[in-house]
Amino acid sequence: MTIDKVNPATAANAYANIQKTASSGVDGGDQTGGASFEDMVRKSVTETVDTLKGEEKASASAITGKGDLIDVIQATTNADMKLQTIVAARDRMLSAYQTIMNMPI
Amino acid sequence: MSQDLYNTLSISANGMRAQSARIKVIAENIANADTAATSPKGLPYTRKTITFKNVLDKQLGTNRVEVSKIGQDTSKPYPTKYMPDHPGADANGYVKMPNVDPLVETMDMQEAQRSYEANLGMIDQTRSMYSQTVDILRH
Repeated sequence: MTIDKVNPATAANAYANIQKTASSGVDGGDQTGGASFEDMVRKSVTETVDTLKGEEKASASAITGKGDLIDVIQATTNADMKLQTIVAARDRMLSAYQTIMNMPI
Repeated sequence: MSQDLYNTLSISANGMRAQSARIKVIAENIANADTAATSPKGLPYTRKTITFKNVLDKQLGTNRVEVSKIGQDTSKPYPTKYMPDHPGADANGYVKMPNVDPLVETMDMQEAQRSYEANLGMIDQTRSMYSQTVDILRH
């Protein structure tokens, strides 16, 4: 899996920038809300990447015959659930952003 | 709510580990069902038993299953078998055999298998419930 090539901080910054750009147009955008949103995105992305790394580790040790199959199932299911959540949330945020960008001014 | 679903995964995984340990003990019993005493004074293989215990994970607030003890079944007497040419035979030609009953072990094995399946089903169900919830985000 090439997911660990994506730097979670970069992704979180990108989301935060989008948020800032979106809120700067509005008079007096809520700055505290922006910071907590950035934190939320950063935290969830970092957590997901960590889970995926754990899954990779468990799978690799199972392939070499050192790991426990149940550990692999647990790690894989966990990673799968986390990834589903983050992907769904990302899609949702992007579609909201696009809706705003497509608005005729 | 999602934390509960993650906890369910680890509870069910622990159940599967416990049943794996049980299957291991049953396999040992079945494999050694004919391991007779090697000397007239010696003892044959003694049936192994496994017990589980409930462990409270205070951090997560969950009750998990763990293997409590793998012990020896000393309650059943060793049956004897007439084999005069066996090195473990006593003066009358009888050899002590293990107190393993293959029928009991087979039933235990079925039980362990069903329990393992039940835990596996729990994991599958949890995952599907989580997926369905995430799917709401997509529409």
